[in-house]
Amino acid sequence: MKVRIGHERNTAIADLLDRALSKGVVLWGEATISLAGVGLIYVGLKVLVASVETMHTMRAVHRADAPLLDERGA
Amino acid sequence: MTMLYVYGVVDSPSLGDSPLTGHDAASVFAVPCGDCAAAASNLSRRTVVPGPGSVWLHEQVLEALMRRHAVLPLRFGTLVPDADMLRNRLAAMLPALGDDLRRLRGRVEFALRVTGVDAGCLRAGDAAETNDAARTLSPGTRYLRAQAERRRHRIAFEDAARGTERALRRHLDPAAESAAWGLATAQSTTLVASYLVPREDASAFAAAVADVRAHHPALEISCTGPWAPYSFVTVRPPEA
Repeated sequence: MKVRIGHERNTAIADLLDRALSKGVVLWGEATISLAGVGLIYVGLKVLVASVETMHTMRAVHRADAPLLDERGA
Repeated sequence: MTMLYVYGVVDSPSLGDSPLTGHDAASVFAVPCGDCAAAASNLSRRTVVPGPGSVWLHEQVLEALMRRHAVLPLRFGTLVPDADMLRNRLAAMLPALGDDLRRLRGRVEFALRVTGVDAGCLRAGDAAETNDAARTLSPGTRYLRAQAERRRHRIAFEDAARGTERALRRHLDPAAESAAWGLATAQSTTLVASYLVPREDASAFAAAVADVRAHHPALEISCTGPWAPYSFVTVRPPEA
């Protein structure tokens, strides 16, 4: 069950992106190399994460019919 | 080249019997290391594009694992060339992973966003640019004064934000085990918070949020969850 209190469902996606892209266990450190114009960052050759800019872009372009959370209002 | 995409670390050498499907519909399997295991799937490419669908899939795998195990979520996009490299890295982090697994067992994360914090502070700052008296000043002086006024109003906003945080935390913190608050970005007017809540107390926490919303109608407060406890992981990678 996903609890969602009083806001549009894209808030849930934004909250998940905030966490999954910038938090959680990191195995290989956080030294990053930005690939200008691509918006992705390689950590060594092993880890790929999104830059903050990518995250904001994704939020902006996220369509309402994108895969949704299993959510219900509380 | 086939890579391993890693979703999380569980407190068991195996993942259980129920099949799990990860990126590219590949099966999720355990890469054991000591009393723990990494949950991983094969990926026949070197990148996973971060987007709502792929990030949500990452979360779904974690949530399925959380039904049976204590789980530490890995940051989205963790790719490893092979199982040996993954095992070696996990082995180097094993004591800290074990500590986090014990601390976060049965806990979930809720996300809060709060807007509407004394927005008048920032509007007053914007008004400085259009003040008639200010137009008689030289452009440089006008610019510096506007900057100073924006700074004053920003400080006032941050004071108001801290007050709002304190007021909300008085209601919410007792319903949770741990919390982390901050601004969404350095210049943002949105307060964000992460709350760590025992899974069995999730409904009580949601009720506390609803109560806070009722008591602060001027604020816009959103709450989503439960999520894997991304914000409460403390384990760090060893120095290279």
